[in-house]
Amino acid sequence: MTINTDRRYVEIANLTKAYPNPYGEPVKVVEDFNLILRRGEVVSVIGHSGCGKSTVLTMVAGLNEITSGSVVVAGRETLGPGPDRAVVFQSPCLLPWMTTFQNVMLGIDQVYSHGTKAERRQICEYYLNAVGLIDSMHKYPREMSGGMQQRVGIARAISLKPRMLLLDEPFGRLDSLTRMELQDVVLEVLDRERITTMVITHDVDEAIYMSNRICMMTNGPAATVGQVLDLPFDRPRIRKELLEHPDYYEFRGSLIAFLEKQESRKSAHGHKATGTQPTRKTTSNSQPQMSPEPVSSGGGR
Amino acid sequence: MTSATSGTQATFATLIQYIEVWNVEQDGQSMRLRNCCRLRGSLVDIETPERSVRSGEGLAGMAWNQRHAIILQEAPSELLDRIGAKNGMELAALIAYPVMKGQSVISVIVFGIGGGPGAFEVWSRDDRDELSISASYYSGLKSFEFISRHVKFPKGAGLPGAVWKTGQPRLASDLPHSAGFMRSFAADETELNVGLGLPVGSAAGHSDSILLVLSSNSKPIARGFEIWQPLASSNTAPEAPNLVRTTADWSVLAGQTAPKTESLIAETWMSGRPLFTTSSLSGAAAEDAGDGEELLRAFLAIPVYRGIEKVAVVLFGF
Repeated sequence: MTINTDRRYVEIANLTKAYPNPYGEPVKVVEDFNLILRRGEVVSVIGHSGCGKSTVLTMVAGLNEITSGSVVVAGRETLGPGPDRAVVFQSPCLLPWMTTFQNVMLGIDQVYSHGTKAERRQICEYYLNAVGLIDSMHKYPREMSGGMQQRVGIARAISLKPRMLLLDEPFGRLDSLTRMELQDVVLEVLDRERITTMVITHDVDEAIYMSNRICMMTNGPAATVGQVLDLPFDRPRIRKELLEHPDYYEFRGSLIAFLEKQESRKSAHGHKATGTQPTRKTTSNSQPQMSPEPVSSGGGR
Repeated sequence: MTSATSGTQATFATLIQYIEVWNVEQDGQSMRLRNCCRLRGSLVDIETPERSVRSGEGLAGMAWNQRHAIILQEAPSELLDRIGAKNGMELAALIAYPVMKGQSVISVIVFGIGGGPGAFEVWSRDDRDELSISASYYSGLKSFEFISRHVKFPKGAGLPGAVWKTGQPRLASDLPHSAGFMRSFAADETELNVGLGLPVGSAAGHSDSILLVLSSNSKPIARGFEIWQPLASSNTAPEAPNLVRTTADWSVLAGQTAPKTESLIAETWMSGRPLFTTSSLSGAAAEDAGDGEELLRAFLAIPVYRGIEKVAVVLFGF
């Protein structure tokens, strides 16, 4: 892998998703979404519910057809789902008739089909151990809490050794303590494995704690990147130190203000006023009376 | 030196207190100072000194040589002190903005900045194809400055990203509520009101960097801004299209009628070079001037190119 590829490990360019309205006209849900991720980087995507965050993630995962634009991972354009991108959803989606071990082995058997059974088992145990489930490997989903089930989902995803990990509000259903515990588990694995990761969340604190960068999305329709925030905090992260960092609350305040601004715009203008393109109209805040007649540039003064 | 007053009501100062307009000579070997002016209270002092520089000489020569906007604010700065002392004013920063046609600099405008809340930012493309701040001047905007240094804009995002994508200047009013302005700022900095993005080195469809001007209500960078662009459906000759005022902000004039700037805009478009003048009107039109014209001391009109094609004229009213 060249250094240059590492610096542009995931390239999302002009990603656009449109659905037809009842009249058959295309309505853009996401428009011109641009983002570049370095190798090993964790990038959170935040925005209001329904703005199109998950649409972006599912397009990157190859689970949702791209209307226009492209996704390139490690120098290869993606043309659908593949084992190079693993996804963890809010719900762990485990097969209920299989044990923890069997659920994780399901993916490993596909991706490491060239390995021996002992080798595949070793891989499975390694990742179950990484998420703290080695003692529960023979339990069925019904015998485990929501947090434990989500750990299985995470182990299943990272055991595939994906080039990119996509987390869609992975802790959204968990209580605060379990959520924090699981954030630490995931961060530890990501730091060790150096997996390039995109996390969808609307939790500002989670975004700051977990990410190198935070991509803030505008409200839809035609949602896009509003701005990207580079976080200067070193990894691995220690929660207590981060919370006591003098800059933490500046970043937190900025993120909340961005979301509030998006919300107020949504309230003020409904779903019509969105996007980043200032309209080409006269913005006469006060009195200037704009001449409706154009002026010819042919005349002098 | 000539001095001019343009109305007794013009008492409040702008953040821009000093302007130099430099034009590159036809032979491309040197750049000549066309105008040098001081904006003090209601007074405008204009000089047309015989001064030339070569590429790389002085601040204007540096902007010519480097083909991007330069912000000079390091204290002590010999140049800053010298220009300030020579003109009897305390300048906090100097900003040099090159006007480019294709890959060639045709003019450089130097702004001398006094104290007061406001910001000038140069946004440049980085290795992620995002815009990040490569040079900046902030005054009285501590929280905004901190966040801005960590913010990046992909193509099309925010005000700088929109300028980059279109290669066109953009003006955003009422920044706290503007759809085109993404960054938020702390409660004590909400007086930031107007943002103007100017492309630098705009080659076919994209800019190498963007100069962003952020003006406050209490001490505006200029008293008003306008952007004029060719009418899309204009059937006139490409060299003399009909121009329309697409965006404007004269909010600090508070209730006064905006000045008539059409003739200055047309002249700037035709000349293809920046123009500085104490009146936007000519001849008989001056008799028909509005309130805003009386309030304003001077005007600076800057042509904007995308590649070698003229796409807009940006006007600063002082």
